[in-house]
Amino acid sequence: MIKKTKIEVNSLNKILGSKEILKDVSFILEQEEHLVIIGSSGAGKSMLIKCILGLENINSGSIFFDDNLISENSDKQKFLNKLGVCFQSNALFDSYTVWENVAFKSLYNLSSPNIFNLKKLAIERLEEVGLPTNIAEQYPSELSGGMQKRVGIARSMFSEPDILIFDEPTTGLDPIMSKKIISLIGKIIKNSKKTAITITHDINLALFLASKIILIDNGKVEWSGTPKQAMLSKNKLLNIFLNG
Amino acid sequence: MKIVFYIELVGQTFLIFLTKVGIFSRFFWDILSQALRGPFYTKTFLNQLVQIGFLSLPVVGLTAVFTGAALALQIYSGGMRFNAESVVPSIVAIGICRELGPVLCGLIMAGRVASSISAEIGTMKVTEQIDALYTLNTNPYSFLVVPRVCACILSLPLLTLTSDILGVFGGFLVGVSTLEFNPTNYLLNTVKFLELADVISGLIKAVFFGLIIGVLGTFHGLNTTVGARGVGKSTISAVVWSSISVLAANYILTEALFNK
Repeated sequence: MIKKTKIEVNSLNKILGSKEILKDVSFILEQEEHLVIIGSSGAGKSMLIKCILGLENINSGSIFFDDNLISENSDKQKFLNKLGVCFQSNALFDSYTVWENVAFKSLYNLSSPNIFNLKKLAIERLEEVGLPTNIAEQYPSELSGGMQKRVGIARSMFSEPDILIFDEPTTGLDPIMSKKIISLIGKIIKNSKKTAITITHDINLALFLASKIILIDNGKVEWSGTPKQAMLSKNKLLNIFLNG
Repeated sequence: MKIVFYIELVGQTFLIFLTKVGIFSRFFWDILSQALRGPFYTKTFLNQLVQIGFLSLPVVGLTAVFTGAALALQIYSGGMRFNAESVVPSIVAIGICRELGPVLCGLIMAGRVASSISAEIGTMKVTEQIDALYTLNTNPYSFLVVPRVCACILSLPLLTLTSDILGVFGGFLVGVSTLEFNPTNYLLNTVKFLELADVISGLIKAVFFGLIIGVLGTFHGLNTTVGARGVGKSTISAVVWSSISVLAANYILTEALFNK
C-alpha cells in the first residue's frame, strides 16, 4: 500500500533578528507515521513546529499538507481543523472547566453547539486518557501536573484530528508520570493509527514512539532515520544522545 | 563624530517610534476587521461586561460620592468669598457631568481594567494559551480582544452615568447635612442649570475612553514578552499609556465639544 504524504516541509528557513533559527529544513511525514524530532534545548525544535502550525512566519521554503500549500489563509484554517496539538506548558484555559477545555474547539466554533453531547464526548475523552470523570467540572489549576498533561492530550484528541502534535510531552513530570504519559501517547497513536509529530530531547521516548526520527542541531537537520538506524548510527551528536 | 552619534540616535529612536506606530495601527486594523468579520462571542462579551462594568461599580461609585462631596465643600468655600454660595448645586452638577465624572471614571478604569486585561492576556501569551487558541481554530482577536473592547466601550458610558448621579448625590449629602442647604432648593438648582448637553458630552467622552482602555489593555497584553517580568512590564505600560491617553483624549474632546 502506498502511503499518502501528510506533511511535506521543503527548504524551510527562519531568521529572528540576525540569527538563523532554522536552516534549510526539509522532511516528509507520511500517513500513520510517527515522527519524533529530537535535539538539545534551543536547537530549533519548537520553532519548527510553530512554523508548521503557522504561529511563526517563515522567511523562505514551503510547507504542504495533503499536497496543498498551507500559506493561503483558507488552507491554513482547513489544516488547523485537522490538527490536534498538545503544548509543552499544557496551555489549558484557566477560566474554563476541564470539560470546556477539552471540548473547546467545538464549543466555541460550532454555530449552535449541543452542550450536552459535547460534555458527554469530553468526558469520554477524559476516560480514554485515564482520568476520572468527576474532574470534568473542576478547573485546570485544581489538577496535578500529570493530570493537566492528560487533559491537554484529551483536548488534542477531541475532534479526532488527522495529525497529533506533542510538544515536549514529558517536560516537568516525574519519571513515573513520564513513563505513563509516554505509554499513553504510544497507545493512542497505535489504536487510532494517527499520524503524529512529537518533539522531545528524551532519546528513550524517541526510540519507543518513533517510526522516524529527525535530529536537529543549530537549526539544521543533523540526522534522520528510523529508530533501528539510530541505534547503529555513527553520528557523533546522536551517539551523545544515545549514550548520555 | 559626536554629531554623527547623536544623528544616529535620533534616527534610531524615530525608526523605533515609527515601527511601534505601525504595529499599533496594524493591531487596530485587525480589531476592526475581525469585529466586522466575526464571529462575535456573545457569552464572552457578556462575561466581560460583568467583569469590566458591573464589578467596577463599587469603586467608581465610591469615588464619585466622595468627589462630589469634596467638590461641594470646595465650591462653597470658594463661592463664599464673593457671596455666591448658591452656585454650589449647579457647579457640582456641571463639573461632575462634564469633567470629573468621565475623567475619574476613565482613570479608575485605566487602573482597574487596562491592568487586568493586560495581565490576563499577557499571562495567556507566555503560557502558550494564545498559541493554543490559534491551533483550536479560534482567532484570539475575535475571542479575546473584540469582546473586551466592546465591553469597555459599553461599560464606560454606563459607569460614567452612574458616576454622574452618585457624584451629584455626594454633593447633595454634604450640601444638605454640612452646608445647611434646603434639600428641595438644592435639587431644584441642580436640575435648573444642568443641560442635557452637559450629560451627553460626558457620555461621548466615556465612549472614547472605553475604546482607549480596551484597545491599549489588549494591545499591551498581546505584545507581552516572555516571563513574569514581561507580564509586569506590559501591565505597567497598559496602565500608564491608558491613563495618559485618557487625559490627552479628554483635552482634545473638550476642545471639540465645547470650544464653539
